[in-house]
Amino acid sequence: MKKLLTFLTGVAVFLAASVHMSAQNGYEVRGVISDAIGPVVGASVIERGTTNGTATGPDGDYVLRVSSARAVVEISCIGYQTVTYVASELPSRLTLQEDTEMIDETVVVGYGTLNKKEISSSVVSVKSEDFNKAAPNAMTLIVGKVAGLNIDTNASGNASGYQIRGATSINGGNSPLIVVDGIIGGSLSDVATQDIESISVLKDGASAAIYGTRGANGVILVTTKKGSGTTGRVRVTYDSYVATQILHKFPETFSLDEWLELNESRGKADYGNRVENAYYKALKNDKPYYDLNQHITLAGSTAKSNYSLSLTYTDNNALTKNSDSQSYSARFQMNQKMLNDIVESSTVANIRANVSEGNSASFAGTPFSNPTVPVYDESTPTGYYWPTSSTGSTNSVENLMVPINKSHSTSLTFQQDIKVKLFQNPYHLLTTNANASFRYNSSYSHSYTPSTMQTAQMWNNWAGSASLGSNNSLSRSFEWLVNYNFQKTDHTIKAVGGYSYNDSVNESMNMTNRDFQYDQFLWYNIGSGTYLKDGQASMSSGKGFNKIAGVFGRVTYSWKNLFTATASLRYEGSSKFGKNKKYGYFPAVSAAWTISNMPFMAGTRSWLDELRFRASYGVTGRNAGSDYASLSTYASKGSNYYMDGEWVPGYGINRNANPNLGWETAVVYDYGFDFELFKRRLSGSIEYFDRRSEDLLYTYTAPQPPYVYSTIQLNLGSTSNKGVELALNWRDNITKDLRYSISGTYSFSDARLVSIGNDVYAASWVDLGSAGGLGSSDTRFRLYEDTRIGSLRGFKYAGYTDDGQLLHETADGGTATKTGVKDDDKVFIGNTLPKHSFSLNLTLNYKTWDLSVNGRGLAGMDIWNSQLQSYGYPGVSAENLLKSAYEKYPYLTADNNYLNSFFLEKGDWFKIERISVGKAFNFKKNKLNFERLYLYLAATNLLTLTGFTGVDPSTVSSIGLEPGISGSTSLYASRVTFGVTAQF
Amino acid sequence: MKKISIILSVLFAGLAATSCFDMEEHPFTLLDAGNYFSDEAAVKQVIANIYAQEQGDLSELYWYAQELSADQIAWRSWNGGSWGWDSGDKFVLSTHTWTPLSNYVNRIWNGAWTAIGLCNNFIDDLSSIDASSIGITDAKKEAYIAEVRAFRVYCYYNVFEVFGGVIPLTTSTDTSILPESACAGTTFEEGCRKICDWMESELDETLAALPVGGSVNRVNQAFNRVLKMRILLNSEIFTGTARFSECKNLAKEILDGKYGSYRIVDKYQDIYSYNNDTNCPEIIFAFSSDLIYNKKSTNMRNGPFMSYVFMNYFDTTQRHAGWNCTCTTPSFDNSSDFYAQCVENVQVGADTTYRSNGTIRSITPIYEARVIKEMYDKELAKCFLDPPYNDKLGAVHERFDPRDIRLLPPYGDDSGNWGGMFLEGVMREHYGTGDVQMADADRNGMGLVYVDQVGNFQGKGNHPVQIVENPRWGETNSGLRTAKYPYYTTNSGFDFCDPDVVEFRLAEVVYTYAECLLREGNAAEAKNQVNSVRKRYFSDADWNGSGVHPTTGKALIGAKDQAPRGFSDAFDMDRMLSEWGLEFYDEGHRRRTDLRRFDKFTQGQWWFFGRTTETGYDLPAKRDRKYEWYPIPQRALDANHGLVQNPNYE
Repeated sequence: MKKLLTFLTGVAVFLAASVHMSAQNGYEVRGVISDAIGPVVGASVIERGTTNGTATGPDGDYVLRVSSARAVVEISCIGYQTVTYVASELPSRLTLQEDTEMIDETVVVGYGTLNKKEISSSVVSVKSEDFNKAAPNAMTLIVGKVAGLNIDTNASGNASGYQIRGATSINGGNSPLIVVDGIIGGSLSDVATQDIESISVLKDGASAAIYGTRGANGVILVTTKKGSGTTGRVRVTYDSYVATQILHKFPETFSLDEWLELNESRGKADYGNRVENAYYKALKNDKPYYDLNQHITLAGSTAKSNYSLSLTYTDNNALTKNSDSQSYSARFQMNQKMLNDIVESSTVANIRANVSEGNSASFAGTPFSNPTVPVYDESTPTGYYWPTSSTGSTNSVENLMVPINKSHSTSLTFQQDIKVKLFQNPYHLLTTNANASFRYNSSYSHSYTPSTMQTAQMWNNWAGSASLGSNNSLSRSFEWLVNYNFQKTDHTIKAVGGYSYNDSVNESMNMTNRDFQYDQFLWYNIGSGTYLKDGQASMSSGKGFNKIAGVFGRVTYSWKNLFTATASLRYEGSSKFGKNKKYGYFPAVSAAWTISNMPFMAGTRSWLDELRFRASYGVTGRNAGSDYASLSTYASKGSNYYMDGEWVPGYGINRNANPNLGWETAVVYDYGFDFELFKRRLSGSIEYFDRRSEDLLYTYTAPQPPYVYSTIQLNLGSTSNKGVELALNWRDNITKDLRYSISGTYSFSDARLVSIGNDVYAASWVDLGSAGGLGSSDTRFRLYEDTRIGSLRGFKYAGYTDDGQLLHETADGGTATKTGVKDDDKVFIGNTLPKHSFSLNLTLNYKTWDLSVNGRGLAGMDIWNSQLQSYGYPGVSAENLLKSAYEKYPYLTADNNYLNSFFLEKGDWFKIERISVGKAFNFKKNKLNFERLYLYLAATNLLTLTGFTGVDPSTVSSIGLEPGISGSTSLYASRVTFGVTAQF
Repeated sequence: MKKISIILSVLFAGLAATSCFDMEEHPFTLLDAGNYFSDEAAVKQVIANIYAQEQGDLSELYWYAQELSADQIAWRSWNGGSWGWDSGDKFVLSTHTWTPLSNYVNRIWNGAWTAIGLCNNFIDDLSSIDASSIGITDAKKEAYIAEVRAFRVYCYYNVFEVFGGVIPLTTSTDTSILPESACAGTTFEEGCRKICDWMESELDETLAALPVGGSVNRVNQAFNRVLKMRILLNSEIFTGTARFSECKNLAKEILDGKYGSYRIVDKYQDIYSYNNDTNCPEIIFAFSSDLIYNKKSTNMRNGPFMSYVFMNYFDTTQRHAGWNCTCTTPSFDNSSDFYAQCVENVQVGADTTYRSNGTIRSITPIYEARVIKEMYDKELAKCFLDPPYNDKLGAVHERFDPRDIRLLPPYGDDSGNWGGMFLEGVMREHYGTGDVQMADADRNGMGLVYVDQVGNFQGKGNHPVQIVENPRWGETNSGLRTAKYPYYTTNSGFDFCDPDVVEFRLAEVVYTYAECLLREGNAAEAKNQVNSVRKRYFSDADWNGSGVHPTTGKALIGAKDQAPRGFSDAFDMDRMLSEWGLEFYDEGHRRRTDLRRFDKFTQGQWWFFGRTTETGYDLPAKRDRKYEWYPIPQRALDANHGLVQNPNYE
């Protein structure tokens, strides 16, 4: 370690010393840019390697002061070939050639950007112009845009969970690493969707390996918009929307009258209510649902700086009463050049506050509850009906309306980057930058349950309960990078090296007291409850700390337009790892070959514009597990015992220590072709990946004795995921005004458990997903070695009996009912992991109108129909049933609640996820500088095509290790959004 | 330029120096195990945790293993078999259908070795420390080690009682060596012998270093000897070698006060009261309990039996809810519905109110439960102690002499006086004087009436009532409920958590002595010994004989000579077993202390065994010796290939 440090110090000193500074005060370039037809407006003129730049005006004109006459000026515009000149040689009139080559875009990758041609690993970048409209959160922006990125959406079509290329870790988590503007482990919720410039998805090991112990689930890089615009002018963008939800029809259950009639044979208790849908009406918000998002950005630049300030306010009026929430956020960015443009400072500050008061409730289950239960009862202290059955059951309306809750959370992010240009000439550019950031998050939640509540009085024997809780975390990071770029004729080299440090500290506090004399104090006088005096109050606090540090480097070399290769290495350690395994190496190599540019391909150029082959290999880690898990420690056990006349608190060994605890390793091979055909109308890529995850963290049964506790965390076992991903995009103009594109993604994957356990720690399988059973906690999934993830193990349906019981096949060839379940009779009855995932996007542009339609689907999996199991046949003991229960399964008159494959269905679905229509208005010069107005209307969750008969299958999780278990009840809503973007 | 290079060099040197590559962890809420023992307080804290760990396992896991599987207490599910079912976790215990995969088999194993592991670590760690370095004398250090060694034997004894010779015998803390079963390479019986020999020698070696008398919450000489006495009494079933005479001698020594002064108390309530740790000379060892510091307490002795509204009966405000899951095994079959016989469900009216926790509430409609007193007198259903059943097990309530004061309905007052053990018949608030309490679930909206039967009289869950029913199908009112330890009224200022949990008391020594005498053939003296304890449960008049039997109207002989229902007058082994069960009812040891030693655990006959079937659940109609010992959990076998499964389960 020390040697490495000495070496790096030496390199840094050498590089620093070799910088020679220019004495000149800069050099002005000016001119006009045009294309074959006329002036090009909005082309960017940038001094290479800096953010110093401008855009051409209405006449294609520009003026820019660069650092010296030898500075390299780069002129680019989408749709044209980029050109570069040494400043002194830049012609004043320049005609851009239309780009018939692959669009020369830069893509954000880990620690920098690369030209798309230089990328040889699997990286997909989505730019803001391709984002889904009206997305309430960042991941919704790119639903359906990236092959291999699986995003779960909730009932209103918003992204709720996501993973790249399937789940392969058992306990280590499968969520990709989020990097926001270079801050590793940043939070997506911090950033307003309108502030996002691009989202890059690093899918393979080679692209993610630069993130070392945190890259194994892939990486999502979010880049926010920077300040820009004409010098001295403030550009104002107002970008807002309001959305509402239209609830889809509830599943059809028996109405109150039908229920009463039917109940003569069912014999459920009648509690007297005669109001139809009483609970639904009482829970539902009187005001219509709306989701308001107000966003404004001010951006501008001066000669030496640019800045942007954006403010966001959201107000969510929920579907249920007393459940509203608001958030406020502000983001400020500033770039400033100093010291003769040698030093550049970038600052980002972000603050966000969420406020919610009230409670949350769902009426998804109301159609299935007993419709005769009243909501209100004047004789109770709260005015709400109290269920008489001594089951701990409570009134959901009372729970929504009576307890008082307040929770706030605030997050503060600050990032400062200082970049120093150490050396520059037309061929070489050497810069170094240091970047420090912190993210502070503070949240508190306070609640009070009044003494009048049934739950308080009846079940727990306390009158009033107050609790206060807070959680504060601070995550700090420091990174120091050295960047080197070399470009000469056919050779380009880009290199980056650096040091990265990240720590985070978390402190929490919680207290609860009960039995209050006065309800009106709420939680503000928590000491006045008698539980404290009685020793029943609870109080707790905690603190945790962890850190990660590493050094890394990456070199990318490109030769002509034919070949590019990248190699990277990260050496990194984490405090979470055991003392025998603190540090590890994470290497990666990748290469790409543009076959179409080879001489022997000359004959294909009429139709084949580009064909690249790439291959990559990378090793990444998963920093799984919790703090201090490897240490042998004593802790307070919360026990007390009476010794020598006093109560002695119990202390003891608190876990089975494992000094060998380490990271999980993912080894990924990735091979792919990128292609463009037919004058670039058709573009796309196809790739094959093979990801193997090893040293998986799993909680094994520890041999007892000699171990004190029954479980131990070990790095054993492996999973593999292989698959194919295809992305296609066809775009064309029908007329000059009418353009369209059709794009689609498809992926196939096969994720398996390869091995679990070893000779010492035996485990033949992993059981997942609790389901209940006889004398042991039954599980739904069993993964043996070499078993596909999602393998459901249960009883195979074999008809039904005369008295309405389901039958299943038994191991000895016979049949049995639920009461005869034996573990031996269980077989693999299906698989809930989708094999195929696909999306289809259509866009149509006519003059200033645009239309887009997004569809998405999954296929090749089963889904467990929990709604059928809970409410779908006459024998269920549920209070209310689906009407179809008697129509479809009149013969199932017994309770059949168990893992019979009768409840398993094909789960394939395709849905029209989103349709949006927009129109832009461009304005001529006016007083307000009102440039552009864009209006759009978008609707999500429109139609799902499926054979599945339970809840909407697109709400069923397809990710993680326990996919495909549907909810028994679920709301499903279409979301309609009206949005405005106005630019001044 | 030089400036920049200097700054960079300093920066980098700074990086290296400020330990930015140091990944050591320094926890904030945990202590380093390597140097934990810093003073005597630290030593006591670890011992406190060891007691508390075993106490927790004993009050829950061992209680399940030893009581639910035996003849006096059952885990039953209600509301059409759906409530309290808990995936059949405890059902398998009550029906002897457990397997190596059963949850509780696994949990018992895990908890047991945690307690033993904590003992092993403590003994290892403290032994390696110089006494003076933590400010105590060598003698004190040896006393602490002796205390934990003796307690470790107790922990071993508990797990041995469940699994037998398959458990490993290890005191090592080296996690690189996986110990084998004691019976590995030899017979199960030989494994049992090894463990018993080791336990005995550990007890003998530590005896001298232990105090005489002192706190009932700590290990002392009497604790040590009573534990040894238990091993000797059960030696025949543990090792194949009967050692009753040795056992009798040791019991006599203890009774004679050689290991401390103890005596049988006159008032049985003293054993279970809030001040039992200081006020009850019968208690030899009890786990400490307290509302604030140690709520493990007596919860498991009462809580699983209680309904959700039990607080109103006891005028108490308990901070734990009843479970309504266990009941006393029933005395009567279901040939008649006591509930229907004893209760008229009279609809009183739509606007009638009842009280719940001080609040007036109304329900529609409301039923008032009214008792017809003749319910038991008519005895329309058959008692399991009578022909044609003739059981001498189970049927707890009817095995008591009807004059026994423990059969009084539980009562209490604000001075902390209390008595009575079984909740029976119509439940009314305020110790049976107030409004009728309401039942839940399958009898929702009806009065709560406990009957000494288990059955599904209303046929909920599509399961019609059967003459003899298993615990899968008991309505909410099925089976009597037990309040072994007192629930104090709120006004008394005492709490149900206050009594310490009694584990060893002198009555066990008396009963052990009596059993040894009986086995020698001295039935008369055995009866005298048992009666010396039983006397406290009767008035002088009842004890010596007066009055008539409430059911039969026949003149009664004194309780001291009265054979219980279904038993012969001779004081025989059946009677001895029954007396063990009544004296130590619900104290957590019925399976071993009694049933196994009398060879009744898998061979005896009570309640539903052999009289009902349950499709698919494999109720053993025919009893099987396989279940004498519990199997090693499959997970433990998988994790340590040196363990050997009990041959009965292979």
